[in-house]
Formats: sequence, structure tokens, C-alpha cells
Amino acid sequence: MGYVLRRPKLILDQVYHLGLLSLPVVSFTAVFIGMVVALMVSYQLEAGLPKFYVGATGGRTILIELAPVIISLLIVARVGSNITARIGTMKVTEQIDALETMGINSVHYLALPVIIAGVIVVPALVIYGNLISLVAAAVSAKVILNIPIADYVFGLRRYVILNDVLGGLLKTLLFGLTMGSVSSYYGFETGVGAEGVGRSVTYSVVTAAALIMVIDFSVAFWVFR
Amino acid sequence: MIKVSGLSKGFSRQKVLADVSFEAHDGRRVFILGKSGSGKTVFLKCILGLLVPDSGKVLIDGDDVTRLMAKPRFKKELTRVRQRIGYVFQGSALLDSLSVADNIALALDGKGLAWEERNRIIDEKIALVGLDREVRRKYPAQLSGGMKKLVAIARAIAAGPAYIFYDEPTTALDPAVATRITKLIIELSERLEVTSLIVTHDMGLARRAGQDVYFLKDYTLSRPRRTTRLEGLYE
Repeated sequence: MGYVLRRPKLILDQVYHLGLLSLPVVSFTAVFIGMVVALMVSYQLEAGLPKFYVGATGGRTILIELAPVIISLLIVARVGSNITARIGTMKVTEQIDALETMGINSVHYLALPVIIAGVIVVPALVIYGNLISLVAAAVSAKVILNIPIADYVFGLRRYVILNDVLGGLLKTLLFGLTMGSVSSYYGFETGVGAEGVGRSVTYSVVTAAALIMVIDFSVAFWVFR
Repeated sequence: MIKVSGLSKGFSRQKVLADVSFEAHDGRRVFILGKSGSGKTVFLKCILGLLVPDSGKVLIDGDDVTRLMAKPRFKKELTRVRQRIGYVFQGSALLDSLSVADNIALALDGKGLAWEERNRIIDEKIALVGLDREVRRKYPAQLSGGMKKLVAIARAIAAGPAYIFYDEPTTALDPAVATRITKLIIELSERLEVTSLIVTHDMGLARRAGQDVYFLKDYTLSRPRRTTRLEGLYE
């Protein structure tokens, strides 16, 4: 760990690649999460229920479940696959051996910055995605469903509790850790040639996605039960 | 001095090296000739501790590499041994994401050098291998195969190693670059007084630059030969 902390540029490079370059796709996805949630909650509410329930139920659904899970899966697909392919290609082309011969621990140099950046970036992107989704839900509730923004905000403020936000963020910390660790691990485990890299990327994305589902359930079980 | 005794290595049921013994004396240019797939690279990687041999012992200046590889707690000692060796990989193995200067600087990592000193060494090594200073800002993808190989050599000598290992240094290069690298191998060995261990299938290179020449065949090494007596080795 000391090696990476003495070279913060390694982490900052990963924060840039994992985080800043993911902003457009996270923004796009978050807007649609918000709009769909507003529509679906409204659709499921029985006639006569107050309209602020769209803010209450929609907001909680976004913060607890949809934004953390969908955005994390998106990051696994966009960034996790890239990390595995990059490390895998470095292994196949002996770049990792080159690091080791120069006395540089390849795990410290390649994997640790990714894992640390994952733990920082995934929660940050989800916080950003949460805000975009909540705004998108409010706007679509107003424009499509004619629900006043004040009602939506009232529902949000009245029913969303701190535990919802913290529980959602706890998930994202674990998702970030999982994404960084799994994608690095499969990169280092890459076999021979281009086929080996392709296989590693597939295993990496599938494993990380499956683990995200398991973690999602586990956090729900312990925090939201 | 590098001393290898009784080294064996296989992958699954595929035998690659069997009971190989070998010595490389200080300051010599030692060639290991062999056909493609004969196990030359595996031999180099076993010496460096990048591959774990099935049996046998590798000593570098008295340090037992095989023992150091065996336990993670010896990692620092193994690192110190490796830092005495510069390795020129067959495919150059430059890090794609780093510029030429940063690739060379990797070899200086952890030495606590000031920025100016680091840059001075980079410039010096780039000049030593005959490249222009402008190349330092370029990325590996912007370089030809020959230039990549020269940068790989610059990186290998950056930290002032006692040994330089070359893995097929002239493979896939045009004759002009191959000749340049042959001269460079001789020049570096004399100027820096390093021990050079070169694995190749290029008999011409061994004839021009070799001092001690071994032949790897049937999983083991022949006795050392003179460069004037290499005819018929591949027959």
C-alpha cells in the first residue's frame, strides 16, 4: 500500500479513467433511471393516492436500489472490462514480467491503484447519478404526469431517510472494491494470446456482475430489513 | 557470476528443460543458441525467477534465486537480485501507456533520484543506444520495431546493471537494425563491463558477438563452443 501512496499519480490516473471518462454514460443512464422510475411508480399507484408518493417511493427506489446497482453494473461493463483487458494484454506482451524484472511489484503498480480508485470513484459516480436521477424523476413527473415539483420534493423530504442514502452508498463502496479487485485479478490470470485476454474479460465482467448482485442482497438483508 | 545447476522445468506433461547446468563468467558475452521453442526464454526466465523451476539451483553472485523465489518473505531480496539485471524482452515489453522517458525511468523507480538526475540518466541512455533526444516524449505505438528494441536496451541499462539478458535481440528486425544492435551488444558489454547473456536462434549474431556459445537441444545445454565452430549445429 505504501508504494501506491507514495505515488499518488498512479491513483489519480485511474480516478481520471474510471471516473471522469465515465461521466457522460453515467449521466445518460441516470436521466433514464429517473424518468422510468417516475413513470413506473405513478403507474403502480392506485387512483386517489396523494401524488407526493411518486417522490417518496421513487426517491427511495432510486437511492437504495436502482441508481447504485445499475450505475455500478454500467461501470463494471465499461471500466472493469477495460482494466482486465489492459492488464491481460500487459501480461501477454510481457510488460508485467518487465515490471517484475525492474523490481517493481506488478500488483502494487497495476492492481492497487485500480482498487483504491474503484472505492473512491464508484460511490462518487453513484452520488452524482443519484442527483441526476432525482432531478430527472422530478422533471418527468412534472412534464409527463403533471405532478407538481413541490409535491415530488415534499414526498422526497418526508419519506426518504438518512439510512436510505447511507445504505445505498455502503453498497457502492463494496461494488467499487469488487469491481477493482475482480477486474485486476482476471487481468493477472490471463492465459495465452488474444483468446486468453477475451476469456478473462468475459469471466471478469460476469463474476463482478454476479458478485454485485450477491452484495446487493446481503446489504439489503442487513441494512434494510 | 551466474551458476545454474541441475535445472529442470516443464509445463503440465511437456518437458522443456532437463538437468541443465551452466556458468556465465563476469564480463563475458554468453550466447545460448537454439531453435524456436527449444526453451531458451524459459531458461532465461528461470534464472531471473520469473518462472519457478521444477528442480535445480540458480545462483547469481552467490544469491540463491530459487530459494528467494520459494517464500514471499524473500521478495525484497529477490527484488535486489533482479535489480542487478537488465532484461531486453523479445517483444521489447515497453509499457504502452508510458512515454519512452517514463519507460526508462521505471528502471530507476525507488532509487530516490532527484528529477534532474533522473532526466540526465534518461538522456544519457537514449544517446548511448544511438537514438535522438526527441524520442523521449514519444509513446511505444509511435516507434518502429527497431526503435522499440533500442529503447528496451536503454531501459535495461538505465539502472547500471551488472548483467544484461537479451531475448532474441535481432528477431524480426531489418538487417541494418540487426547489425546496429549486434554492435551495441558488443559495445555495451565492453564499455559498461557487464556480463551479457543472449538467447537467440541467430547464428550470425552469435558468431559476430559471442565469446562463449552454448547450444540448447533436447532439453539441455551443450558444452561451450567457440564461435568458429558453430557450423552444422542446426542440422
